Amino acid sequence: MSILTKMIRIGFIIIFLVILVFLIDKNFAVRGVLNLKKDFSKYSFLIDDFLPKNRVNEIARESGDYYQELLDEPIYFQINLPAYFLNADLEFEYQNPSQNIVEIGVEKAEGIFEFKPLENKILDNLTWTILSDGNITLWQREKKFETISDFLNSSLDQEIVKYRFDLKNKFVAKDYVPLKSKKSYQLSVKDDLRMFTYVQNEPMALDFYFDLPESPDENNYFGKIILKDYYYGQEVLNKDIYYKDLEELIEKNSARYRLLENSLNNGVYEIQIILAPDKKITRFASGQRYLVFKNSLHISESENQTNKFYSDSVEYRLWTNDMNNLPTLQVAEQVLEVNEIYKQTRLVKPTFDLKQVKLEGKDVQLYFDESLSLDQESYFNPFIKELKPYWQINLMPIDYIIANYKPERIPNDYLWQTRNLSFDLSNAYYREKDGYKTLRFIVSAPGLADNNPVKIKNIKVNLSKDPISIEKIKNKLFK
Amino acid sequence: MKKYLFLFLKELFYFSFISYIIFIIIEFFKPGFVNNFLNLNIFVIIILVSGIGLVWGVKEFHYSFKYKHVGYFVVCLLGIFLLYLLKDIGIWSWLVFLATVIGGIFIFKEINN
Repeated sequence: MSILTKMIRIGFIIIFLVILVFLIDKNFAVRGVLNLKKDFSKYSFLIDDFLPKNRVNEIARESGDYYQELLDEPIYFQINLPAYFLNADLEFEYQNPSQNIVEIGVEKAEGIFEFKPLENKILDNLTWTILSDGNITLWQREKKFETISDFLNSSLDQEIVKYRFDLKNKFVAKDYVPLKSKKSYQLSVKDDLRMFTYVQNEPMALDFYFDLPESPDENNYFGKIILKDYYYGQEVLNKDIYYKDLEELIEKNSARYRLLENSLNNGVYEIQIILAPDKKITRFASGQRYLVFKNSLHISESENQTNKFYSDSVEYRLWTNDMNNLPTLQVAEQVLEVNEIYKQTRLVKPTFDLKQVKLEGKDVQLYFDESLSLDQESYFNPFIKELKPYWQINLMPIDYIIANYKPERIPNDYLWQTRNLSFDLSNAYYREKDGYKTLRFIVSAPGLADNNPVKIKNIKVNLSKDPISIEKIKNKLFK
Repeated sequence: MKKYLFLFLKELFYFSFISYIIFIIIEFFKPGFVNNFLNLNIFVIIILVSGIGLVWGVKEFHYSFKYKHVGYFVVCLLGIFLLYLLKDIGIWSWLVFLATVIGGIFIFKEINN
């Protein structure tokens, strides 16, 4: 064999080894990095297609570039990884002509996503005074604070709105007088309940009335109750409720669970009740002056079909699966009639004032974005409001907005733009698929169905973790 | 110059052919290991192009191979592997498979003449 042949052969062997090392690095992320790209020109196993398919258009081509249109939300995509990673930097090249908020989320528990803003046109176009510190931005209608720390260390009792920013204020009710006797409310609900109440130099006393099955035994399960200090996040009570924990009443088929806490510190408390599937609460009695519901209520089948509430929510949604009992919602003078089942119907009343809410219907789920109370006197809202996509900030009674978002103004909404996001994956929820670790992302753009579609041209995902070291391999092998 | 080109094409053919077989075997045991990051059709194209060059060189320089039967064996092995791997997939992959087999047979037939 000539020297030349040998040299060519050695050259090709080196090329083969380089390819092999490249593949090993890509498959095991030896250096601790993995860069993925999806440009819609061809199928990519590592970054799956958008799902569900009925919320996206077919992949289209425009001047040589491929893109896909998002028509409705939420939309999901998965990335299939050879290993667990600690961090993901995502880059989206997209066009968004009219959607106010576009957010991307990563799955942190089954069905639970951590969202980060990709674009927020409301904040991008806001001309208030801006203070920035890293990724945190504070907008002030009238400039008062010199730094973000000054703002965060203030009493936070002004009209504040937050956006993807973890901020709580310590609510103290002024001129508070505890209730002298318990108030009773008729409301028949099932599934999960999330309530907030306030304690100031008084015990917490709440009664929940359950419907009883025909012949209950002492181990009959009714649900779980969790009581938490809202500001500090400390759990005060976490208890399963069985028939033996209830006080049976003379009234037919009814029993009462008494929540009585005598030594609570002053403050706001969250009560979560997760009812067993076949159980419902039919009545409440509250010794607290303030008591509000958050997020949603599932009104169960009951004789009384009209329920009255009070709420400062802006957006309300109704859902039912019963064609024979289509619900109607009235918020102040605005009426929402549901004509479809298995679909959320939406009503927006863009004012923050307390409104009367009338719901006619049974077995219906009511969603609301702020607090909801059973009467005017028990209403309170100790929360800092979260920015909503349909708000017109300049018309709202808001003085400050704090967000985990860097505003970026673009000259033309029809331009392709590139924006980046970073996610911590240390506690992300991975699924297993054909030997790969699958990570699920969500694209959320509320109201997308009513606006122009969002076009996505490119998704780049740069993942990182600790590199594989000889030390690590040794530890794994000889452990 | 033509002789050096032939030498290069011959080594390129060996390299691409052997690499292709190794990658197909890896892909068989760990699907996606190669295909997710490297398009194996590139190797098919290199094999065919360098193979045609090889046929030209063998005729031009009256080159004779030492281990002719090894070549036949490898082509058969590759064919069986490809057939197994492509049994569930679409028409395009079948065309690639057919092109590989016909190309392989043609190249080895010409080389051995």
